[in-house]
Amino acid sequence: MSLTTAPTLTPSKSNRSSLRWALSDVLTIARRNLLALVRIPTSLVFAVIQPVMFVLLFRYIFGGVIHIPGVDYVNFLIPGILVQTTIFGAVGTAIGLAEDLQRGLIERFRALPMARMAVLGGRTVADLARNVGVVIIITFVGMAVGFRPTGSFVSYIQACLLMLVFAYCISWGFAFVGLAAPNSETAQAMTFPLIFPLTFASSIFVNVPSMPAGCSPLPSTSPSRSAPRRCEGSCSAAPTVPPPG
Amino acid sequence: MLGSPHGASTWITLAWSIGAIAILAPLATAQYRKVA
Repeated sequence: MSLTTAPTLTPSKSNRSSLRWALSDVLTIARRNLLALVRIPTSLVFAVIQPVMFVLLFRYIFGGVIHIPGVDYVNFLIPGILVQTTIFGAVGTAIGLAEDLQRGLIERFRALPMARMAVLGGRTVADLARNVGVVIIITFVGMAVGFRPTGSFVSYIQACLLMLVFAYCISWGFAFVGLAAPNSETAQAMTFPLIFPLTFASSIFVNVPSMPAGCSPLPSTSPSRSAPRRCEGSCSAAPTVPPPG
Repeated sequence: MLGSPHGASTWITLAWSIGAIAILAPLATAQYRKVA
């Protein structure tokens, strides 16, 4: 029997390998969540159908009575729908985590030799990947109903990336809600008061100055008012819409 | 992008995003440690 000496790692190498290990765990959990989406395509289909219904509703039913000075309403609407869809996507983070917690899956993950941040990181990264797909689909749906970004393609991509970054950051808040809720039904109910001011009481569907004073609880600098307008800026060569608020 | 007429919206969104993740990620992580 011979003794072998275990290789000693310098602290920097050890840190690097633990970071790589944590990233690998995050990607593994993200892949697990994305596989669940692929294997249960119903949830993915309905995640896409809902924003498409909002596009059709506001483009053809409510859109006729909403006038935004200086801009075609469809070019105002689609960036807002993109922000709304990514925020609604973050609700899936809360529901998914609440379900995992309810089924005891998180306790089983906890027993595994994996990075602690992997469960939350993997869930949020998977939802980010899903949001990328939804943004691409809604862009094409928007184009089918008359959405015409007249800014540069690069500017539009930058605006979409900005929205995705915002949605990713928000999804951590919904992760907290999902972990704090006793079950997935409650998690879904808890998210609505959060998404309501971010979507319906913002400049996503209408221009805020057209609302009675104080109807939008969000300041004009809130991201759900600035993000769609940033995207809208990439849709018109010369911005003509007065700044919201 | 940041120098465009909508650069202000970009900065505002980025600032809110950074602020949100700086607060929400530790909150979510603390809640995860508490429940798991």
